[in-house]
Amino acid sequence: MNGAYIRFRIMAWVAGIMSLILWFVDIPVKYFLTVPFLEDKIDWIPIVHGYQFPIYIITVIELSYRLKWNVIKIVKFILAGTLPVASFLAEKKVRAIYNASK
Amino acid sequence: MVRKLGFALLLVIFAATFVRLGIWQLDRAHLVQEISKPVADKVEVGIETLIKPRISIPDNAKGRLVSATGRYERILQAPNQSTDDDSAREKWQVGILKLNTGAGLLVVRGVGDVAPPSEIIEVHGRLMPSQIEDRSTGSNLISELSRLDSTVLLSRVNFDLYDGYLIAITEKPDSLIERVPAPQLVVKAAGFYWQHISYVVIWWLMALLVLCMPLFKRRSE
Repeated sequence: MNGAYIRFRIMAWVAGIMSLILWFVDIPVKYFLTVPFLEDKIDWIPIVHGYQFPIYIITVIELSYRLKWNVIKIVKFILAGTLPVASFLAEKKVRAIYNASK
Repeated sequence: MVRKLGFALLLVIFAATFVRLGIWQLDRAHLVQEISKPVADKVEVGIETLIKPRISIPDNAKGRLVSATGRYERILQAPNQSTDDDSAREKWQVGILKLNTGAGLLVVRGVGDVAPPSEIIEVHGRLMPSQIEDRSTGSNLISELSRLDSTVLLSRVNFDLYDGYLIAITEKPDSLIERVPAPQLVVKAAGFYWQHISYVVIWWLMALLVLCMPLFKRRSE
């Protein structure tokens, strides 16, 4: 449980930060602002975001397997990785579960 | 039994949908890769054979290497649009080349204020589509264009103009002006190859997860 919990916490933070960057930097620069020189410098954002998400999903699956979560809860936690703040809330919830189990 | 079969069927439908979405992203990745491949330039042609004055440039003429022969009627300036941070920010020199046919063509000659020869000039360059948005604000002076677009000049000349503009690569006779890069037009497709591949990974991981769902269900019960 301990390793799965730490791995999930790290990936929840990574997913949250990457979602914030994607929603509030990448999307506005690409679709709402006209700054061509900046567009080339942020090409990495969707790529990094795309690869960290499967890793986040794997950590959710690992944790859910250990905590015997039901399918709906697993789906909710996976979707939390796609929204900027939701993964931070998910991490807070898991931290509370972990502290209660100690 | 019927309920179990229904559940299994639902899982298979979901998994198949996710696999299909992964294949769709894989196709997008290949499309992006194909579009971004450099294409060899076609043979240079005279502008008169490619487009007509006052008519929009067709897609197949955009980015083509063309030649035009005529005399510069007027020399104007345009904002320096180089994306290179180190480049000098001197303005671009733009000439209105009046062709032997009587029509005019905007030609980006280069950077600086080297005057063109007064005789007939043969220009070789790349034909670009007109710019739609202004590149400099509040500079719509008589001698400076806010954007490279022949429609901006319609009221200032008494002859027909070709749509678009030419970025000069060479001029004969040459006046040793510093030229502006004339790269091939790049077709921009949404997304990047490795970005789409990451979505393939996500969709197929979802498909795998759906197929493993009975395992999770049994464990949580």
